[in-house]
Amino acid sequence: MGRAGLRGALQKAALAAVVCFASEAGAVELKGAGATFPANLYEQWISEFNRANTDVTVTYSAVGSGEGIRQFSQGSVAFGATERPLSDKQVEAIAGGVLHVPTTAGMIVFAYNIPGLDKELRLSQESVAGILSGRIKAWNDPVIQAANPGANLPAKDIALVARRDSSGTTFSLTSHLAAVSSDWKEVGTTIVWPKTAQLVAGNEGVAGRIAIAEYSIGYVEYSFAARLNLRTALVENKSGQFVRADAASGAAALASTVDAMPADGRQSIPNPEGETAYPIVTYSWVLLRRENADAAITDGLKRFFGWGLADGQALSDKLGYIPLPAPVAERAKAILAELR
Amino acid sequence: MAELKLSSLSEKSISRNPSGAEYASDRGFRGLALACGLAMMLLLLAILIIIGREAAPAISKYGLGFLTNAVWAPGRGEFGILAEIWGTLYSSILALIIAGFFGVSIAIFLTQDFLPPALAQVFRTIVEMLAAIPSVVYGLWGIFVVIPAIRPLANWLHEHFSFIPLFGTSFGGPGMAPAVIVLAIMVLPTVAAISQDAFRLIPYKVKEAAYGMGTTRWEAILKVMVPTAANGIFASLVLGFGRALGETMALAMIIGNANQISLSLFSPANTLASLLASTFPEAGQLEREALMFAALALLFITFIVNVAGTIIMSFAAKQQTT
Repeated sequence: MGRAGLRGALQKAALAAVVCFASEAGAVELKGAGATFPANLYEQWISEFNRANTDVTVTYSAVGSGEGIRQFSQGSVAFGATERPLSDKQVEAIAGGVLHVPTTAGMIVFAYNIPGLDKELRLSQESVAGILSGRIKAWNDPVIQAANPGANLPAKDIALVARRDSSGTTFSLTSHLAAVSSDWKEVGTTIVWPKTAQLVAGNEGVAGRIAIAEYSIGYVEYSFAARLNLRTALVENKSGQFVRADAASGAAALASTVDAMPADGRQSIPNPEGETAYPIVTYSWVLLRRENADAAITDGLKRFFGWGLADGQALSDKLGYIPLPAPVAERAKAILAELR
Repeated sequence: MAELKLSSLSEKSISRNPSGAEYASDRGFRGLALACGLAMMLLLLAILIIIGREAAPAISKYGLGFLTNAVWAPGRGEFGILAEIWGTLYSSILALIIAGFFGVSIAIFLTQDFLPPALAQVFRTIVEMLAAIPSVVYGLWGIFVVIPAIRPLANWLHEHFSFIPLFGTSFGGPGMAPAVIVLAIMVLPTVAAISQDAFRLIPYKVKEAAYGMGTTRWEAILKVMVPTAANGIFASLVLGFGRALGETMALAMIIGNANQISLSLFSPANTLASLLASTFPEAGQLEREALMFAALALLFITFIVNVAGTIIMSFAAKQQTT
């Protein structure tokens, strides 16, 4: 290629770049960050939504609820995501106020890796609190054995896997524990785990660690366990029933509290009622600033989450999330409509 | 001699005084080299100062208690790195014992005429290539090869010898044992290469003298060659130790990330470098300061070890050449 040819090529490249930018001019980019809990669903939402709506580009980084709230409060992302609603103090710090839009719900399951165990593991409330506090150290502990008659629980140390990062999943789990066990004191997004616990980041980190570590157990949102084909334990609920995490038990857990859903969408369900209800469930919220300076952003957020609350709900079940009950979805749409 | 010198001076010498340009370029080069040397020192100083300044709030808040507390609880604002210091030293020392044994054996094998020189060169290159494998690849290899491979042995040891603290907990997977094995392989090239240099520095006449005294080959190696190269071998161990202390990615993947102090080879643990790598991305302000303090502690430990290694090595080289 001669000099002239090179110059021609450069001009073409420059032209191509200009054309490229021109076609992007009408597009709006929505950046979000937060919980890893709903990440599998949001990922799917984004790819489905972007197929039909090329003018709105949504990106979501799953960095954990704590980090998501931090970035949202600083204003570096258009939306945050969390399973721990903001405190009133945190809301006040943001000019114009914050909307909590419930987008989905999920079950926190205990995924385990016990080679050779011939029966499904059943965890009573006492054994859950015991394992997570480090009081129960071995799989053949009488407390665990009591709920698993006839199971060949091994005489091995329990390898607990927990979250290091600031996590809404941890918050939901510890809220449940505090509700069912009088010994459990610490509730929060980061707590002090037993010394033997393996601490990793993100729901995917916990699931990945359980997959490679034998005699391990940890807590993740159901879809992460399903993705890696991890076995999950039956957990004792408020009525003393041992319940498997599935679409029906998740829906039953939400059904018990639908009527009590407050107007602002911030509802925690630390210990749901019902014979068939799975005991550890939580809504997952996106955080939106009530007032957005850029109308294109407001419009983009309304369209994306509006789509998610309608068509997007159909994807929940398949991925291992609980679709919002109809009244809650309506409530969520009403909250989204307040966005300016 | 004197005559020769005089006669060569009287003829037109091929040597001449340096020209002005050569003086200038020589000065320029010296200046450049000096500047580069100083820049390196400044860079090191700058790193120290910046980390120190970032760590200052944590240093004044936690003081020396930071080094003796084994709790890392960002939620409570309580930080200590005793468990990580323990994990760092424990894993590095164990890895060094393994790497030392194999590294020195390899060095003897490759320098003491066991192999034809061409073949020895091939082996040397292969061992040195171990150093070129990226850390993250070692980590993956640890997860998918080392852990399953040692599982039967580890389970057997725990079942039969659980009264020995080394095997006191059951083996799950990520933990001290696979970390030590991977770490040993990672520092092996360092130990092997520097010990080989130490052996090669020994003049051939030393070995010939030993044979002349009627020693067998193994007597010559163990009673003459190894003691003579001892300082160099020791330096290789210290430098290997320095490398093991700072190793990050592979360990973050397989050591188990548990902040506990345990003698058991099968329980998960943590190291300073792995704590830094895995905690930084999500750390808040307070935790970041504490991590900077931890970084400073790690820097201090590796600095001391590396300086010690270098001093011993230069001492060894001096002793052997005189």
